[in-house]
Amino acid sequence: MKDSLWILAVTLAGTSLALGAGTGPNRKDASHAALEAYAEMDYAQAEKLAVKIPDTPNGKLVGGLCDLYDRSHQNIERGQKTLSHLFNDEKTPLEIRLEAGLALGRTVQLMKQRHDLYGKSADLYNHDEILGKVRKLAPGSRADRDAFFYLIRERLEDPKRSDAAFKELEEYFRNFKGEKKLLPPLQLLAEYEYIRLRRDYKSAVRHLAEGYETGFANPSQTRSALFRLAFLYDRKLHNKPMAVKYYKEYLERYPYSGEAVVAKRFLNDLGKGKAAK
Amino acid sequence: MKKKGTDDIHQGGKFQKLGIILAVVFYIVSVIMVIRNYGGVSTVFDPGEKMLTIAHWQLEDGFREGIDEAISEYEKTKAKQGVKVKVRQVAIPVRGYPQWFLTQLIGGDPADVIELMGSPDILNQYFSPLSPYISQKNPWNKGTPIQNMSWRETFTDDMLGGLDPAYSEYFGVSTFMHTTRVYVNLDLYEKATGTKQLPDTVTEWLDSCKKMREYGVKTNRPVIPIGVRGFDKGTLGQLFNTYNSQLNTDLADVGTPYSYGTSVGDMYHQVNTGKLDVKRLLEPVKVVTTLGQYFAEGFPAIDLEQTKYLFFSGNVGFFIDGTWNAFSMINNAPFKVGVMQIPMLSNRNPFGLKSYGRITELGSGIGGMFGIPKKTKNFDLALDFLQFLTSWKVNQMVMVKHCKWMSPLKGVKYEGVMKTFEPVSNTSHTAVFSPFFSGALGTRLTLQRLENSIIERPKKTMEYFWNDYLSVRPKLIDEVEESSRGIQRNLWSIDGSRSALAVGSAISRPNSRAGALYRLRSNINLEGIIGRFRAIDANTEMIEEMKKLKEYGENGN
Repeated sequence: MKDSLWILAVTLAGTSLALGAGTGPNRKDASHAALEAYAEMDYAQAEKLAVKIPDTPNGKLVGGLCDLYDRSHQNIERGQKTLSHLFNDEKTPLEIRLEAGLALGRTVQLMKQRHDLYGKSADLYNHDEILGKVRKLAPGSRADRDAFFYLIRERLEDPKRSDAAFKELEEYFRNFKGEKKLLPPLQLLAEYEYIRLRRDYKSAVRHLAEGYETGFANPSQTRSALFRLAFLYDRKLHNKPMAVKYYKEYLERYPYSGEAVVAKRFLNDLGKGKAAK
Repeated sequence: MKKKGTDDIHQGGKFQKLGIILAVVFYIVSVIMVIRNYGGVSTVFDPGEKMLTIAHWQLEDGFREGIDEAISEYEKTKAKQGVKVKVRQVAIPVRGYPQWFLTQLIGGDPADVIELMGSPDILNQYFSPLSPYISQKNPWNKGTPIQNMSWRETFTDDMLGGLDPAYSEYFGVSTFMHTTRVYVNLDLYEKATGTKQLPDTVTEWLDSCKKMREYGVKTNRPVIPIGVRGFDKGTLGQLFNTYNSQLNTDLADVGTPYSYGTSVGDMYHQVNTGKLDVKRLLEPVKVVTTLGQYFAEGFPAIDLEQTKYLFFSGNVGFFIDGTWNAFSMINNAPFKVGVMQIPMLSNRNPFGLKSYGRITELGSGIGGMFGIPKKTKNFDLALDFLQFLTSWKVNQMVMVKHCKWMSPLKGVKYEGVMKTFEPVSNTSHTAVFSPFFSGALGTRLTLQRLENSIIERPKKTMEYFWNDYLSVRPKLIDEVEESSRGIQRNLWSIDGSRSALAVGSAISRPNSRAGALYRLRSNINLEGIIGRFRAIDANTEMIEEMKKLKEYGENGN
């Protein structure tokens, strides 16, 4: 009797400890800390913390993402499986679902582009469907923009779908209801693809100018975009006033850059050299 | 027997005592060294005094002295602000630096401000992101001409060189700037040529080299007209690229379908469609092999230090190297040293009939990146010190006054010999890329081929060079294909960064600065992917066009 009471007491104590560990502030802290460590790309720490909260959506997300992206302990198959469960579970909080879907969709897409390296293990998933679903879950969001970016490049690349993809791209810009600041990377892509696939400089420059006016995030991108704008107006569209405008702006903003001397010369060629000074 | 045993014990006791004394002495010495390394007694025993360490591999003349003066200035200024701080400088020779650097980082107790080296992965793992600070003003610039600029804008390259494209982050800040110049033994030059006027064009340069060689024969001295660091072939590449740019910069004006500039695929497309004569791309080979006749016998076996030694011995006329060695060249040579730009091709030279003259050096040569490890115990103070080092007055004091190096900051004026170091800006042309320098293998084989051209002196230099280039074409194509695969692998890492930044943005408070930074970096990340798409497409085009190239003289013209 004494022994069985003792066993019961130990069991109860163990259970309460386990429950305590599962619901207390420590668990909450670990959850946030795991996300924080992951955001800082400290995978080792993120994984360590995620292991402590394996049954929570945050723990699963961090664990799954580390499986995909931590090169020292990569387990792509397990990571994609975890993220697929999270993404397909409608009870999963939206932010987590979006990130699970994006990471799953994008890695599947990349693996399908490299069958020689990854084999056919990613063929289990339909990245087109996954990324499309991400877009529908949060239209106008950052996740929507990212998913669209990955999808549209693939569609533009496919000669059979290219024309439709250009239309889709224009529609996306027209109907976009989200924050305008999300668009410049897509505008940069549009500029590139209009030139590469169609040599359509008018459309390319339109998108580049919109992206530049909204503001690129990378200062290096801003600088090269400004010079490109001037150059394309000058040499491809032969639009002198716009070329002069952007060459002058370039000289004002980047007088120490290597291209500044070229901008001065091109302005001279356009008969605006003195005005530039 | 017994006595001998007693003596042994006695002797052993003596040694034991000596051992103990030595152990105690070494212990005391170790304690003293540890205290010294940690900033002295005042730092170790004064809990209020903070300790910072700055580490680098710059052992050139003036650098350590400059940093010492900056440290002294910083300590005094901080003391006036009521902050007790002691800064220690650690200089490690570059050969051992990579190992030391990694050991420091992995060991978890690295220097607080440290010169960067290594891959983006290493930097991301061990260094603090600086993006939150670069758009703010550098407080140490107050009262200077650049006081109203953000820290980023105070640099001539707007810190573009500091952005890591893989992680969309700044892990370091540059501290100096260099150009490549020719150092001249003025005594030898004047005696051999009878003039003080230094050569400005390749024609004049070749003429003076000829006279130097003749002077050597006449005076029975082993004179080497041009000293080059042949061992790593750095000078060969430098000369080739300089003259390639002077001859072919107009190709950048035509541009690619996308922008100003050139691409290998586009240049070869022009060659294959008869719009560009391949001889134009090969013209620099002739220039370099002609100059190569004035290098030392056996130059491929001579490294930088040996070339410097030969220069100091007075037997080298011209020595081509970066301005990082200028101070030691000028100060340590037992003769007067002149500094000049690499002579340019002029239309008086048969090679230079189509030359565009000098090419701008603006925006290039910025280096000496210093970062702050994540494990630093005093991040705020380390950041403050880094800002102090890159501030208008202090950076000029360290670099210009002590090292005779150029500052990476905007609007710095130089005097005396340093004026010759300044980047060329009085031109209207930029450098262009040579298709023979694509990829690590491509570059290595090109330099080897150039070296062979100089040694073997084939009669038809350009034909020799081109046909040898075509003979290794399969290997070059393999390398380009591998580069594309590398970029694709990199796309996976970039998505890892995207994911981390998305999580960071999601857990940040709405409208917080941290959240805004995560979103900014997330856009940089996505913008960077387009660069990768461009690179893969450019590689595909390059391979297609490379396959179509024909033997010398058979391509369209």
